[in-house]
Amino acid sequence: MRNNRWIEQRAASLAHVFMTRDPRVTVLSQDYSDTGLDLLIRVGTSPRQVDWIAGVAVTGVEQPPALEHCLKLTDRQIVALEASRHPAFLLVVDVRKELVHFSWIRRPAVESSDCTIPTCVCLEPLDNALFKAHIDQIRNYYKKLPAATSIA
Amino acid sequence: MTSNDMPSKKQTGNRCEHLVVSRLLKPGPGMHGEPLFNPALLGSDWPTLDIYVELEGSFRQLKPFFFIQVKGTVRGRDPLTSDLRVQLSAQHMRRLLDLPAPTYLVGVDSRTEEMFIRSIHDRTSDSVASLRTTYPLDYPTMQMVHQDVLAFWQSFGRKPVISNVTV
Repeated sequence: MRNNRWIEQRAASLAHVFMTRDPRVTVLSQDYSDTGLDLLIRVGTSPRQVDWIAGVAVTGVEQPPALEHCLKLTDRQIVALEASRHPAFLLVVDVRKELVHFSWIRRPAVESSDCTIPTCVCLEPLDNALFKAHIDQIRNYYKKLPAATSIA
Repeated sequence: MTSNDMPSKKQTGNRCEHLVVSRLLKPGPGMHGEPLFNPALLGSDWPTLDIYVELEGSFRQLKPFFFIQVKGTVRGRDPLTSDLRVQLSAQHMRRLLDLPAPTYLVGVDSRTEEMFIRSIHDRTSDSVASLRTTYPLDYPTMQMVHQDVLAFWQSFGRKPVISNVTV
């Protein structure tokens, strides 16, 4: 039987490498995650920004993905995401072509009261500049968030 | 970029280890090509060894394996020799040489994401001052490493013939 474990493993490593091209991003251990997603990243760069974090779901695929992608989140993950104030996003990694696609799972929006987690999302091809822009969005979200509520 | 934005040594190290793991998992050519290796990161509890790697394939007995020490750098290459500016201390060199399994050093330029490999098996040198860029960690080199490791384990006695705690 074909062993596909390498696909998820390679996707996780490529996602780590891709995200840490932005020096503001630190990948934390899974153990710290309260969202139940694959990875937790920190986008804060000073001790005061230690709780500037985001959840990341990583999916590995062997062919370029369709632009509409259905999330495979468990009930526990959905509950955790809806209760959390932290942004979360999905990276779909083509492990053969080393291409990455992106979608928000939970947008970094201070004003929005809608915390429903979508079941399907629209993917966009990701490059370093676009990813940097998304990290800027997350950092701006935490800057705007009132200090008293910024800690999880 | 402010000093706060600079990745720490540990972050650079983690990034380099993931660069190597993702390369070791690079699938072979073609639509259905698969990786040559099955790597596992060992974590910070192992100061000399960073990655345990099994060969992929069907083996009747033990899966052949080897170890990798990863050295990352942000200093790039020496302009005169083109060597990658990574070093392996005498202590780490000795520990790798004492392991009864194939061991390799992989140097990573964390800025360009280039990776180079050399075997650590020769006791005539007691440390590595810089890494030759003769063998980039690409698919042809990985095939050579696969052959090396397979040959080592095929010639090696896999089990002791006696034991102090035989019942």
